[in-house]
Amino acid sequence: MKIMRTTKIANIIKSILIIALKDMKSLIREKTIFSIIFMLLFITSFATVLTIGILLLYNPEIINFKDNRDIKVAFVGNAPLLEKIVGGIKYSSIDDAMADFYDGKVDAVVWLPEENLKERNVIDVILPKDETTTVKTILYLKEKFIQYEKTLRRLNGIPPEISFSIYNLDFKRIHVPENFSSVYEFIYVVLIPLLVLTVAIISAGLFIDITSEEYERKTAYVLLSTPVNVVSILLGKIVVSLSILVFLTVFWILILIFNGISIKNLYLVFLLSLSLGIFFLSISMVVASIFPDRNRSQLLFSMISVALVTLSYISPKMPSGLITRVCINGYFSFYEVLGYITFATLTFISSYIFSKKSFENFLRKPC
Amino acid sequence: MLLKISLLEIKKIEKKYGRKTSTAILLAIVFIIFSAVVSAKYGINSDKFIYKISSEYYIVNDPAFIYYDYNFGDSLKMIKYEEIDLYLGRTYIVTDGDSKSMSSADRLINTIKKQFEYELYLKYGEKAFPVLLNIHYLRREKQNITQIFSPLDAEKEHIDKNEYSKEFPKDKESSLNVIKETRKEDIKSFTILKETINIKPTTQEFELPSTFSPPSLLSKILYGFIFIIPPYFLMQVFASSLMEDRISRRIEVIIASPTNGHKIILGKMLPYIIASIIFLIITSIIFSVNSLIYILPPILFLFSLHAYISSTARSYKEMTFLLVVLNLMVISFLFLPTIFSGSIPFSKLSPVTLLLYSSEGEKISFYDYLLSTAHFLVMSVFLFYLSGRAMNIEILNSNDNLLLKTCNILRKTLKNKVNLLLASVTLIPFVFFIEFFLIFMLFIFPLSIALIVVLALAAFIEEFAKGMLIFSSIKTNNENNDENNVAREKVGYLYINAIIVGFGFFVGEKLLTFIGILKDYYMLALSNLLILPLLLHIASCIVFAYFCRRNFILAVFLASTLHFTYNYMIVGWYL
Repeated sequence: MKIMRTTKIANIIKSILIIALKDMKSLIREKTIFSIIFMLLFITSFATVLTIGILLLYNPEIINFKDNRDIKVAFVGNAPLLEKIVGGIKYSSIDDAMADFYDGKVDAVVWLPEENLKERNVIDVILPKDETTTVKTILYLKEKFIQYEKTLRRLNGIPPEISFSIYNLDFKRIHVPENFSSVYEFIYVVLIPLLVLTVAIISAGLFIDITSEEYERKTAYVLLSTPVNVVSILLGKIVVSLSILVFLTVFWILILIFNGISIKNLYLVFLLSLSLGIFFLSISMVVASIFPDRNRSQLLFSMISVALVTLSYISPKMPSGLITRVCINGYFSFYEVLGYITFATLTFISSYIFSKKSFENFLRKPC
Repeated sequence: MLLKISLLEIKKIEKKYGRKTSTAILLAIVFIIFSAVVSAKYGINSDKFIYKISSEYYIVNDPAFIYYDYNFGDSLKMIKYEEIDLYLGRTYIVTDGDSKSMSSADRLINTIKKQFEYELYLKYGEKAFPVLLNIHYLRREKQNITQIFSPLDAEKEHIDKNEYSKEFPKDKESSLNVIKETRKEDIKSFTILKETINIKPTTQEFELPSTFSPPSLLSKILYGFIFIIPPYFLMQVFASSLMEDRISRRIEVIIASPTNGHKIILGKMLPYIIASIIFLIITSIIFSVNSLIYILPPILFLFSLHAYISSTARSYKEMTFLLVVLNLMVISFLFLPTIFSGSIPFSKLSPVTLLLYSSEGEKISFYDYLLSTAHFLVMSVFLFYLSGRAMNIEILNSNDNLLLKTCNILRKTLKNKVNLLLASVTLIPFVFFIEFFLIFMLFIFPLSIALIVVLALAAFIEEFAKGMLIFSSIKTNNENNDENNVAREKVGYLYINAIIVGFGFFVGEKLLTFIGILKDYYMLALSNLLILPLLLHIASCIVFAYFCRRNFILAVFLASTLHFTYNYMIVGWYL
């Protein structure tokens, strides 16, 4: 009896692997897997462009633009203190300054008709629109205006600023680039969760495609005429989706590590990615079993996925928040991760039971 | 016949999307709207509790930080073992210098500064903010890009004194009057946003020096997604429907009817395009902006793209993944320029930028509109035409990959020299679209290497595109379409086709110059030279034609090498 049971299990596993290999071969033959890899590379490159672009807005020197010209500022008005701080070329009238501004002889115009050392000063700043030097000009002027504000505060007995020095563990002073946190947080708060969710959705969407294709091409009935049952077909498709999920997860983790982005708690990040993938796979299984054709099932699955991705960023407890905290080694509890794993497992089991019944029912109908 | 096909498609949708499906879709829409509203209300909060700090002196009002109660000595140990990220002292911060601790230090300092300004306001009122900035961004004459690369040469540039007079240009007077008028208004009060302790002046668009930063439409990007994402679902349904008809072979019945491929594609596409237009009109009314004229061209392009991929893909899987990648590229092309609008001129390549500018009340010129939409319209027409030609049983049932199928479709299309010339002109927007992504190279490599990589890849992309046309134009008697075994063809025709493709590509490039697309990228487009680019394109096409009889890849490589050498020499000469 034991031997018969073992043989039966072995046969089921063999059937599952045959189905899974069939679909994997098809993926490789159609080179579909390469388009997914290209997409992940594209997302990470796009994110690199975006993060450097955001940094560029605050620090143009970062990409070594050879814009070595000094910034030329036209100054108009009776404001000796501001004039001393900003520097620039003095103009007697705003009309002359604007004429040279439009001629391209100056990069900006600063206009303060009358300086008031005790009260508020409203300064008009004219800058060019959609020009490559605009960013550098803004950063130059920002520094001057901050200096001006501090000077006025000091003159009026108001503390000008608060400053903190930053030291490393050897008590050497270190410099932190401005807005460093914007770039860093973009990678861990937006990009990494997006990669996890994208891979999860792609793998789950793949399940719908490979299942609906069997149904629409009627090849499912051909398969059922062989010693393969519905359970083997279903599990075979699940194995393909999970294999792609694992492969893509490892792939994006490697890309990020190769690009110098450190990911803490690697095994927990991997488990979380797997859990989210299984959760989305559960949704796709239910949708595909209710609507076996690709048209409706992919549409519904896409709509649900868009809504879930949007919601995942609204709270630190949601998937994106937890992924961020885990991979950045922020504040999190192992039980949160365990909770997601348990939830995903339970969802998967219930979806499997539901979809197995549904698939069995509609495959029993004549084709 | 066209309307009949559209009506058949609508009936198919009605039959497929019965009560059960409609209910499910309705619930999904409600779920999406719910998630959008909730997200808009709460924003991104997944950045909470990410930094661990300790301090005996302060607690800062920022949920990104979790506080630990360690003394100075213990804190240093905890930092060393990466249990916490930094220690906040009375006037100093201690970190271990890695990326995370530097990021936490930067965020902490920003938060402290904000809190400091808030405390200043509570104690001193408006006197704590003696400087307000009234920023005006004004358009002026286009900057020559040589000023970026060769600042010394820019200074030597001759300025025609008659063109630039000292008198204030009359068309700019209105801007100056607006600036003068705004000075007369007083600032009434400040608004304190208590949740974020941000202090902002209420009147007009004034800035404080600390908040003065480069302009960006980044915060409005989501606004642009509202117009693009819903039609995307319709495209998905259309693509699935077409693929379904192919798999079930229903399409063969329609092909057998007295109609042509283009009518089939248009007939199937029409209900979805009309639905998209209705959606765009409704959203335009809701948001009081004319989204239809800006968003319709990219929507039409996406529909044509979906039509082409679903006509040529071998399976659902292939179709899904190709469309995911291509859609991602198109979305990036639409939104990346928008993110940097206000700082970089090429932001106007995207119609989404113009849509957002228009929503802010800015007037959009016809030239800018043409610049951002013409390439989408040309690509839509070309892809639509190819999709129609793909409605051929041999092509639909072929197991060739996308590139080979494209060659086969082009082979059936390029029946004469005029078609070949038009096709080579129409290649330009596709090449331009792909070359746009070469900008990524500038951010991945150091500038000196990036320039070489960009020139090499640009050469490869252009030669590959031209090569495909030349290759496809070869009429073959051989049933084997293996690229390495091109059938015999009169050598003269091959080289004539190569010259036509080279000439057509050159004409397409210069058309772009005439409508000023590449005027700002003067040097990179080499637009001032006419003879040399013409000779280059013809020469590289002839090189390809000579070698393609042996090996397609070798031919592309050699043509690209010639093209790259030319580009490198010209760029070097200008620099």
